[in-house]
Amino acid sequence: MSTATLLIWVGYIALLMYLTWLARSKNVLLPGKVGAVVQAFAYVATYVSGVALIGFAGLGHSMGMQIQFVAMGCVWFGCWAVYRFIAWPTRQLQQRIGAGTPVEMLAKGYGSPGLGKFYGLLSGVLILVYCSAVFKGGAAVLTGAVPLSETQALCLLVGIVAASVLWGGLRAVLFTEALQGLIMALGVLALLIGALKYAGGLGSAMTSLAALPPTPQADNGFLAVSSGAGGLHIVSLMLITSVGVWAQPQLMQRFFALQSRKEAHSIIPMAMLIIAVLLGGALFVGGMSRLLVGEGPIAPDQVMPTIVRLVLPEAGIQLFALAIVSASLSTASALLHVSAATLGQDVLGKKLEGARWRITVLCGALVAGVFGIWSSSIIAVICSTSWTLVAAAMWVPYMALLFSRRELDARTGILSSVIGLCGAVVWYCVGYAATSLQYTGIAAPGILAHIHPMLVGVACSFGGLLLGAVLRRSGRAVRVAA
Amino acid sequence: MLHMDLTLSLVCASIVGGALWAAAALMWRGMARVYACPPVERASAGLAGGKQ
Repeated sequence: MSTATLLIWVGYIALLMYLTWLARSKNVLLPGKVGAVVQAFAYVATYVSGVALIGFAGLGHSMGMQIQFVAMGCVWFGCWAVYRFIAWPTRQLQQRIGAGTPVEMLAKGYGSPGLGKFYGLLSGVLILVYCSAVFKGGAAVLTGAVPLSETQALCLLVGIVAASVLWGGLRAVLFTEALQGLIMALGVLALLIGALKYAGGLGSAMTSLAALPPTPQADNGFLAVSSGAGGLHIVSLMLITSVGVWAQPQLMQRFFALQSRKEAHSIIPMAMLIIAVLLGGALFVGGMSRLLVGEGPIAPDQVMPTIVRLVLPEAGIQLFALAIVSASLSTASALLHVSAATLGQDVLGKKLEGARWRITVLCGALVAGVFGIWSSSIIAVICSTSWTLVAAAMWVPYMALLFSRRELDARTGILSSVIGLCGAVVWYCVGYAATSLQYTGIAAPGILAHIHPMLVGVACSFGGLLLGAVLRRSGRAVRVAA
Repeated sequence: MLHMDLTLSLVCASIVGGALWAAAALMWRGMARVYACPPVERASAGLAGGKQ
């Protein structure tokens, strides 16, 4: 490793720590007043992790340009719709209830401490699993840029994230994420320019991509949407990554920094522009990866690191590695913060300050790190499974709390969450062919076997909500009659 | 468009369109902020067009 490379990485870590020191706050769970630009960068940096830039972009090798569905969903549903319709009502609800964490907000909204413990345990554990995938993605790229083994790189990342969360709390996490968002945008732009130059320009790349023979996963070619199961798969992927994530606690928590509806709306163009550049650029490169790395079999998680080494000079490789490490660190900081807060405060019922906060964060970091080293699954799969289960249990209750005009009781919330979660798990085991054939050997017939468990889980959860409303109404009718 | 089928063309157009709209909205807001300032402030900020 050259001295310049070493200086870049040491300087980067020093800058992050300096920013953490500058922005540290007394209350580790609340953000305080933060500007709209910082909020926009922080939201996108939390949303877009190394998982999206490495894992989902890598799927483009087998799917082609269809992977751009994910970018479109994130731009319009994940950013525009979120800040237009969801962010400010969430902040109002949090203020009205006086909640410190997203899980506490939902639990108090339904008036059920038990529901809070259930949400806290579920989301806290699943977020740590997702966090491990994020660390894994960052470590995979870091090993290509600096002479470290994957385990050493993973330990380094876990250490940096734990230090930033421990030291600075939520406010410092937001500021470091904003810096990381900026680095991510620069890195992806460098990769996009390098890849287009390598492929001979945009027109030439598209012509070559159109000439490639179809494959089972891209049965209409690499510049068309697949028919049947393939098409359903890409639409499901889009829905999970752009609509399913609405109920992710680390994203809900970003809205707690809003000061007004106007501020929420002012974040929209900034966030949309950053995410369009980041995801549009990275997934475009992933979609044309067959032209760059060839048509031979390659693991999805290795596609982007291989492209980076092919198309960028040494300085560009370091810049992209910084971008991916930034993406991983920003998401991992948010995940570690929210899971520690959730498991410590909502599940164990402890007020998190001082030594107690430090111990909780360190335990969370340790678990995520160990799981990252131990797990051998594909990053995108770990991530989408974690999102699916959280969405199945929390998406409908959260939306109902924001938009329902009727009073919602604890039983309705519990029914909606439990039925949603059970629906998704059962569908993973006996309906969804991609997993159920491994677990139980059976699957739903025909095209039904390709409906994603998140859609089934959310539908079941909605059914549970309706059931709760019916039971409440019938209970009231019985009381009136008596 | 660029050999893509209609659906994928629309998907890509919506990403590029979203980015362009967002960039235009940011520029519009920046301009509005500059021209909302009193002329003296604009002049002291080094911006052309303000009376001193």
